[in-house]
Amino acid sequence: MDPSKHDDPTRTVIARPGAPEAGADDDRAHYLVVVEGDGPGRRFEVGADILVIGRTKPAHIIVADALASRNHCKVGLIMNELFVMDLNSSNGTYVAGKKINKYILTAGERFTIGSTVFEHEWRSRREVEAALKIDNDLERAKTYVRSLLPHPIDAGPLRTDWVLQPSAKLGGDLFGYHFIDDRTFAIYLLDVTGHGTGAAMHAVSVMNVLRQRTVPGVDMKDPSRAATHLNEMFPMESHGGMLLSLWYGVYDIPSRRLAFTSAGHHASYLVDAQDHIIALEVSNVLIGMIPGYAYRAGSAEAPPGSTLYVFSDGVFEIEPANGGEWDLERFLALVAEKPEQDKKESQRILDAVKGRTGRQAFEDDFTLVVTALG
Amino acid sequence: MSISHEDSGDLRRIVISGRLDVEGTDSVATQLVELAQAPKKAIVVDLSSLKFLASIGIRALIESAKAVKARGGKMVLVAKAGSTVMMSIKATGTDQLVPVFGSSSDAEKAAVA
Repeated sequence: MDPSKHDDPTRTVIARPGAPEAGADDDRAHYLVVVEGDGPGRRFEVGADILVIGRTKPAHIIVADALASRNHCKVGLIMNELFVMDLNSSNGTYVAGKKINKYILTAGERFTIGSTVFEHEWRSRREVEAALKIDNDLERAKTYVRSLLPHPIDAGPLRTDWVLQPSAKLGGDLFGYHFIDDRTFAIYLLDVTGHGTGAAMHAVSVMNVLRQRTVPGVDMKDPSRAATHLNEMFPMESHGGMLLSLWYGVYDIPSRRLAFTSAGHHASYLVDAQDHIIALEVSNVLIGMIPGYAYRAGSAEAPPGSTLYVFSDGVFEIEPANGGEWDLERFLALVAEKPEQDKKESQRILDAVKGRTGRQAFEDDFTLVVTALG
Repeated sequence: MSISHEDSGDLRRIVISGRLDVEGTDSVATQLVELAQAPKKAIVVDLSSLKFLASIGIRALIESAKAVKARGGKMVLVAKAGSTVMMSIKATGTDQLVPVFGSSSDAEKAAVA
């Protein structure tokens, strides 16, 4: 323990009127933050003691990363500068793509072990506490959003499964589905512009309208009317400039007809038993953008054995960490691949996207809802 | 990611380049809205060297376009045909509110017209 950190009762404090608030700068400490890999957002203070990073105990900072060695590297301070030193690890420690042995990290620099990336932060403790509070608020919002999501359907005329992996910053994705009546199934996915709790809460307000089976004066079985109604309710001018994209579909089970609208949203896709892919998209503006806009809808017949894939742009707008490429075309090719036994279709796709992009965590929410229409 | 601008007469040209994604986009989005507030008649926002446009960027473009229109000016965009940025502009319907051009000379002509 550094004795200078203890309060000294004999110390004289000279107050200077108008001087910056004391403690704002002298309170700074060095931190390592996981920005990618095992537990993004985890933050460790680096002080007088040297810390070992590795896959198992007795390392001080443990990363669940198969590519990390048991004692992979150590970090500590020399002359109040943060160093990282490799401990003869099998896969090495990297800074900016270069293998290092010992390296002094400036604030903001990152190092990588296996597929885990650490960033060096040099910030005041007060700032860190404020950041933690925001993280806590985000965590609460994430839990709340998750509690609103529907259960997968595993009995009856159709089946659903889904994944929603929120980004560290919470991207504002939300989806839902329900039966409007015995023969009609409604499904939707929305994405609010921006991120954070504000975007998530706006998504919740919109979802609360969509969840209602009956809205006075609005036929929720008609996607164009539903979207036009939402647009009237949520103009950006009176909602903090927030806009949202929406895909909304209504499936009439006996006739196999799927009516849909996409409002500033990319297509959803219907994949039939022969793996033909049909894009379900109508060109419309974002909800909240143009007052009085009349949203158009389309419809398609779902052949027997077809599956509906509804997803957010976070599933294909990913910058791969492995130097590869990833886009909508590649995502659709993955969708058309064979399902895996004993694995939910949404989980198969999420796992494959992680493998092919070399990323465990994504910059935006990753939301995918799969509905087997029977 | 960077944002810069140049003025010539009644025209302001704003250039955004790099990757307009979640990290750091908030500040560029705020700067864009501020830059578009200049009392210029014509605003050209050049996105042709932008690699990626996240939804917060779309929102800033729409807010700016509405503000410019409200004061009687005209805002137009420049984006490369077939680029992911152009895809985002079309998918969100932004092009139904703000005209988009493939070249900056066409965009400038349309903005001052």
